[in-house]
Amino acid sequence: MSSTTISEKTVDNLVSQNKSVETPRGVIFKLYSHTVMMIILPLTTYYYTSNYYFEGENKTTKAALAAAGIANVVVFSFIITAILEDYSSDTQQKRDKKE
Amino acid sequence: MAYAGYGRILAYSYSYFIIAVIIFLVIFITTGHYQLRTIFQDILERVSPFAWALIGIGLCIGLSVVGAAWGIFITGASILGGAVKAPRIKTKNLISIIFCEVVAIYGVIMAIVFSAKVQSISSSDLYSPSNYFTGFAIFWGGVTVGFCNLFCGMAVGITGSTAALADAQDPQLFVKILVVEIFGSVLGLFGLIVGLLMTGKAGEFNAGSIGK
Repeated sequence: MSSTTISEKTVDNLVSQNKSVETPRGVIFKLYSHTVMMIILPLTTYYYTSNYYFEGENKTTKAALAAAGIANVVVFSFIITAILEDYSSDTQQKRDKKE
Repeated sequence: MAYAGYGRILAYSYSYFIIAVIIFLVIFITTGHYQLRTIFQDILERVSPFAWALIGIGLCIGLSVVGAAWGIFITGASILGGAVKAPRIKTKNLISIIFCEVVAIYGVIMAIVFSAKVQSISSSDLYSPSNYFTGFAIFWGGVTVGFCNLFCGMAVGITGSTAALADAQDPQLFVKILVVEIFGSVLGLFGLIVGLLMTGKAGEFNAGSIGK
């Protein structure tokens, strides 16, 4: 074992800590679903509010502002999801180290 | 840096193009074929409002996507490089990628808003004041939104790439750099609001509204 180089030792360390290297599947699904929602939700909101909700002269302006607002809501939901996943994986790492 | 090569080519081609245009204009004007006054008059009055509006829509979405793509490739390269040694940075730093993508969504929303105002009008009814205003408003609104999103995407991208590397070193730094990225992404929102203000009063292309 003393003849292994430094890079092989780091790879062995990473492989032995299998749980901290792989990201669980639920996280990837949440991140991808946020990306898809980011594309679909603002456009859907724009069409829906422009045709059925707002009326009058400036309805496209208000509909565009609503769509931009929905895009920002998706961004904040993504931030909260990512930070919560980070905290939960941190606590799981500490639990694994204690065991 | 790799950007130095591209900058030099761009600078040379830009300056040669400007010199060629100036020489052409000087020769054209001094030989009496065309007056300088009518050049500007023709640019503003005889270029079709369709051309102005559609170029504006193209610039709006095109420049927004350039900004978003620039930010994403800078940040993505840094995240992937940093995740080799510190794999825990992978999920949290996708926040920077989402900030860059929001910029492209702003460009798409504005392109849809602008393209709702473009209708097909016969050329005899096209050159009315209302149509002129719509054409100019969509052009400059598109340029405004496009350039704002371009620089917003670049700013968020460079900040996000450095945030990824700082996070790999010290996890507490990321939340503080997130404030800088939030400020950066608000720039795109400013462009969207000003673009909406500029084109809010522009009606659709319409035929037969004389003197409006």
